[in-house]
Amino acid sequence: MPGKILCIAEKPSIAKAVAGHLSGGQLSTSNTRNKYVKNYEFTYNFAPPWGQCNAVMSSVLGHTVDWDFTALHRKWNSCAPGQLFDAPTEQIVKERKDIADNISAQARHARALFIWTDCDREGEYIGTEVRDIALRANPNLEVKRAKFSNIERAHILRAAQRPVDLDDLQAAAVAARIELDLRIGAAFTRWQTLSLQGIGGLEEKVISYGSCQFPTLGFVVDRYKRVKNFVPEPFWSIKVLHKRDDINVTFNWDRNRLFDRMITTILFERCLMAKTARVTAVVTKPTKKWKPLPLTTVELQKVGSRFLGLTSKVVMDVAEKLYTSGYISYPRTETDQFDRGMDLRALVEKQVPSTDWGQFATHLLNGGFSQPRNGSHNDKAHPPIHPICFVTPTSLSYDEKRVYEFITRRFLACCSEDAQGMTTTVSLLYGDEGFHATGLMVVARNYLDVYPYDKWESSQQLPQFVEGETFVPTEANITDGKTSPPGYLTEPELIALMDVNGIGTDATMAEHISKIKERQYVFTRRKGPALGGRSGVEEFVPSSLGMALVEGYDAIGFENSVSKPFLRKEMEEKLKEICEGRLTKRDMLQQCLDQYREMFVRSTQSVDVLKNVSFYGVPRNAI
Amino acid sequence: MAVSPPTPSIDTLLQTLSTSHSLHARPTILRNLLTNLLNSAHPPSGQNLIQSLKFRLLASDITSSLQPYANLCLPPNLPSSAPSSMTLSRDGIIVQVLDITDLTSSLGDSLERLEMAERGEAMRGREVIRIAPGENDNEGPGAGGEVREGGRSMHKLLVEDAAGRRVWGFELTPVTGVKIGMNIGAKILLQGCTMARGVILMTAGTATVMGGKVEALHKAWIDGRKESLMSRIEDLKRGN
Repeated sequence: MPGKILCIAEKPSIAKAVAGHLSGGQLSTSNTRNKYVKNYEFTYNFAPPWGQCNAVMSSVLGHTVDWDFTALHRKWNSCAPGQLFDAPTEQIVKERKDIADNISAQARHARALFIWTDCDREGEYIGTEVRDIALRANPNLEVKRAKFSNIERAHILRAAQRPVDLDDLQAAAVAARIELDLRIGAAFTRWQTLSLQGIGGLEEKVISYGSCQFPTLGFVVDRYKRVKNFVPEPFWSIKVLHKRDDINVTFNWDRNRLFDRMITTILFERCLMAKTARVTAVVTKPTKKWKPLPLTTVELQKVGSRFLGLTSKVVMDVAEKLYTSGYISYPRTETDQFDRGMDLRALVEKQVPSTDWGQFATHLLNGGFSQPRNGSHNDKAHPPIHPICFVTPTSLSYDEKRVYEFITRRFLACCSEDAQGMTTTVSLLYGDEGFHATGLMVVARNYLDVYPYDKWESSQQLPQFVEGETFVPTEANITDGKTSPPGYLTEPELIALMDVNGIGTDATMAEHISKIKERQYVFTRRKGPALGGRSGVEEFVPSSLGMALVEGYDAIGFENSVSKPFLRKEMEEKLKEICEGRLTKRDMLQQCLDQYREMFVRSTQSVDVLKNVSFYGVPRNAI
Repeated sequence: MAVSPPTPSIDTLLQTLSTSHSLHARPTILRNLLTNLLNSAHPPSGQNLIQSLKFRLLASDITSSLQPYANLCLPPNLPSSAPSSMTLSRDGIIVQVLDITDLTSSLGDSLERLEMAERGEAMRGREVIRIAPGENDNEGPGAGGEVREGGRSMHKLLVEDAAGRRVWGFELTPVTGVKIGMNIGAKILLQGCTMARGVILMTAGTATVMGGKVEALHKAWIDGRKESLMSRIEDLKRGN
């Protein structure tokens, strides 16, 4: 038999699952010097030109290679922080020597390397780490990559038969990001820690900087200030009430509300002068509530926080576990459209055994099925998150059960019909002013029956009105109210803001949020009970330190402040351009480093501004 | 060399500007404007002359440049208990805009929009979105309901006639050209507007924005707007 094929996955659990599928259960396991990593040996009939070969499947534990400054610049007091923008860096294997050695050893006797890291940017980069280690041991290796979105058997076998090439562009984007985070992170962290260390309360603390963390913190501070500075403002409105057939109908003002009492009074007086109101239209028409879009990572995190009371980090960790156990598809995806060729009915059928939604699944198979809606995103790498097979709830932990339930209900809802209803709108002209009353009747709940996270209820039914009829309204009043402040940022809101402002990718958002909590730049507290009486959503409040940092940098940098999203958003966009081949890694690095270097220089020149804010703002407790 | 047509007499010019453009200029002012134009590098003639004079009148302060005759001005002596409804004459009354407020926006929101523009966030690619779409289960009771009719703003204006009389007006229905950012000192022609309780009810049919500006007033308004909004918010805070 020709030479051996070396397969490397990103984590041991994937290696085990893939080896199990490819070998059909006929494999032998051996240990490596790392207690988590095993080597699995088997034979497999690969696609031509490889054909029937011996195979060894193993894994790494995430990143094997670290980036750091060379010894000259590694220590904090070795140079001025600003020099780190240009200081030389090196790639070294620090803690993963045993893993790197395993790869080298296996590669030496192999004819080809088949990479099975996760199919996203980070995975592509890790794939190149593996490739580089392997090629150093055996420069004649052929290198290929498997494309897969879940670890279901048929899917894996298909992926094994259709190897592709590593995407060096994606890997380059990650390399650029790593280098930028290293340089920018180190320069700012060292500088701001050293500058602020003299101030009471901070002492030996490291005040770290991350180019994603700061804008994330910026959102929290921004909302906090809005809440604190909020001044309620009075507004006025006109309400018309009419009683007919024993039903009290409320007609709402077309203008909704005005922030001026005099004008509202004038308009109200003109209504009263007119005495009678005239029905200008009675329109009854069908309406619907759209079923949800296929599930993306950001949506999962938002909804997970909102309805399940779990932080986004916990949601993602649980989703990752469900994925490696083979229950759901790859949980890091931006795609919200299902490929037309996918057999969704087969996936629905798998859910029939469920005691919770099995009946609904059966109903879908008996004619209730409807093709899911298409969103506008497709990352071309993975499908929307969906359940791969049925899992009995007892084999899952409490959190796993609830996340799996959400993912499955969402999937089944996608495959249902939209909810249908009828609305009746009665439009009124009273004086110069327009008013309207609406009634909703929900005719068919459809997807709502399996998806309790959306609400849609029939309203009180309206009595009969005829277009053109006139009547004297039972009652007309001026009402008043006051604007109320927004709440502090909750986690789903923060995720939504990060998403919409281009900070972080679906894969990293939860991490940035974790980081600012870890570094005590923000504190969290429970807001109140979530729906269904489960534990409530968390809301974020900046710590004095977090507040001081943002205010300091805002004073220094104004609209280009490092706590505003723009710099990072532009960086993310440039990373995308690298992936698309429209920008070279070198150009991107130069552009971004220039931007941040400028901000750095400005900051060092205004170090007193930062110090002043910190000095006055830093009692160390929560606000 | 072409011979330009003879310059029309002051009377003819006054007549044309009044009847065709509702601008009843004061003769001395018109004479000054005419002299300036004729002494310029390329003195206009014919229709261009009329247009140039019109343009300059629109850029002037009407309390000095237009006739304050009773029939061209707002009714005098509007007591606070003014009639609940009366109609202005269909002959045109020219007023200039001194102040404009968006009635559908809170002071806080107006201030925020101003500050965002200051920070350059009104530019494409530089917007910071602070309330994510769809995340509004935090909306307090004050935010309920939607504005129909496309959600267009409705504005209140402080206007001044040629006699220096100042009254409030507002858009009963949308009037083209009325928006935050319009020129202060812009001229509006009122024809047959209804007035209620001393406030002008403007509609597309009864109010026409003619354009123009008073540079000094406009600059003062722009410079002072932020502070004006902030002090009104302060007043609210103090419970005024």
